[in-house]
Amino acid sequence: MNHIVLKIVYANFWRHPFRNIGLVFLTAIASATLLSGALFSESLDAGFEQLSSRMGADLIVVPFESDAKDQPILLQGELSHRTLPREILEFTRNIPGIKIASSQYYFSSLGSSCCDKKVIIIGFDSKTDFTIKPWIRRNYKKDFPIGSVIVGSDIQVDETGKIKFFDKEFVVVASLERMGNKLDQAVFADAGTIEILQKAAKEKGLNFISEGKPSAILANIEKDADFEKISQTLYEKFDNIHVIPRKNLFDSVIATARLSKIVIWIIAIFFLIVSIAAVSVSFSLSANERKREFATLRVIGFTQKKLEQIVLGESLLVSGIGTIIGTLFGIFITLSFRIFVIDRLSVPFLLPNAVVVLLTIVATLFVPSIIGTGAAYRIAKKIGKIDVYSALKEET
Amino acid sequence: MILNGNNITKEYTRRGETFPAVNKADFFAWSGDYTVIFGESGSGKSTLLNALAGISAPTSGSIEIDGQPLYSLDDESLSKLRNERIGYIPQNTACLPVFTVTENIELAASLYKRRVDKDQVKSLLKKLGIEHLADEYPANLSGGELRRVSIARALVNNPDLIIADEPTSNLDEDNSRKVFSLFGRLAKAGVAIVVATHDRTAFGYSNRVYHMKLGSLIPDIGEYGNL
Repeated sequence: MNHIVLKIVYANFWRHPFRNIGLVFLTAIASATLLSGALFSESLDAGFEQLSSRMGADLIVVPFESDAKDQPILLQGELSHRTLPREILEFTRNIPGIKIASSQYYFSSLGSSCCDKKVIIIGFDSKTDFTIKPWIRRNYKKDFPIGSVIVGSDIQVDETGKIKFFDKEFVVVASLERMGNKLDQAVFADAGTIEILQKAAKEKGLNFISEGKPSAILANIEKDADFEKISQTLYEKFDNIHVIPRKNLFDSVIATARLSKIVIWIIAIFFLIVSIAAVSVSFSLSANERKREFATLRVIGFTQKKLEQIVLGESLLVSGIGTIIGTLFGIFITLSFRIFVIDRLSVPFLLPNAVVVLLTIVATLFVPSIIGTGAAYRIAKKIGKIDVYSALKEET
Repeated sequence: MILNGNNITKEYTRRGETFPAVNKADFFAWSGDYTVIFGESGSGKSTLLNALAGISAPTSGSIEIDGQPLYSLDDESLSKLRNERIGYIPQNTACLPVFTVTENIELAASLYKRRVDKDQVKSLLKKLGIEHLADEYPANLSGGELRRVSIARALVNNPDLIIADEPTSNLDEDNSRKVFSLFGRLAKAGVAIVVATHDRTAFGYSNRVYHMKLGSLIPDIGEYGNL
């Protein structure tokens, strides 16, 4: 682009500062919503991928509650204190078609030294567990000594490396990588440590932890096994249980996430269309107002291409500034609302890896700029072919 | 420099009817010629000047500068030629409102070359009596002042050919005389001047006069001409 063209583009930006700042603002909103939408969708997908790989059971047995939703109880953030019968684990293991089964215990502390709110405590049997242990193994390869805990990524541990529950200290042996859901705020402990916890809770007069009674049974079934038959066997034996198949495990979470994705994409597309329309209308009006100017530029030797570059350059400047501001704002929004999404929407939300985030940012940097410039392209072409004689005759 | 136009016809269509605004006009101008085209409004003067200035291609006929057909050039070459060799002063001119008077003039000078002769710009402003307006913005200028800015802009690249459409339309008698006198000096220095005007003052400076009537260009050898 010629230095004179750049000079004209820059000078014209300040000719109508309010109009151009308005266009910058619109483009910024479009860009911010577009980036947030893209990052939001990718984060939900990454969150789900992480969640399903970590919660990879073919079925889960939980206590029946009339208002229970078919989803992992932990994602709702509302822990049920109901438990399953003690013998259900052994019974489940012996059902034909069950490959592996393990019990889990969910309860919450009443505040701890680490956190200003309740902490979810998840107990698992390290001998039989097949959902939590493989995940923990990525960060912690050793045994699970009694009195030790593993904490989620959002749990802050002080320099002593210990955490206190019910006035009893537990050694933190590992901190897990981020999952993007409520499990990031959870503490994991093997069955031996859970016993100590139960005892400590009892000493404090808290009897909500039912000794030895699991909160959930997670199982994998044989390849050819019939889920319906297995669940029927469980229902016939036990009252007040709920057997959830893997396909239903995340239904309500997926529905919430899908709705959130749709809403944010609608908002992003709406602002994108509005900003394209605004840029297009504004530049069309401006080009009409400036016909004589463009004709004069042709007279003094500007080529058609240079006139087109002026119009496109002005549009690119407006949409470019807007896009940069919007992208920065979009990153801020996404990071700021991450906790809100996990807490309020109860959906897994995990920012994808840095390369994907960077590529998304680069893509969203380009899209509004290209669209903004595209909106002015038709006008630029029209101006390039301006009839100088007629334009000069027109009254200003 | 030789400007040579043969059989120039420019047609327009109005309400479905085609008519020639310029009809088979022959025109030539040499370096140092001071040509005045005289004619009533709507006679086709501006259309002809636009064609001669490389702005609007004729429907038929040819226009050459030093044997080079203008409209066979691509847009880049024709635009460069217009910038460097032709100083065109349109009837209705416009300046870029975001630039000062000096910047508007320098725009034409710096388009194809980086260095602008600032002294020449100042000198032109002085010759046209607008040196005090150098840093003013076009919005603060009168019609006559703007007209002189556009004349300065047309002259800044020392063109071989100056084509001026009613260059003194907004000027008082004194300033009109200054402009025609400046053109006269330029003609003496070898620049070809082509002026379309109603202003009879121009005839005193010219060495060739044409009459334009209903699109036809007629060499005038009588009342106003010096040939």
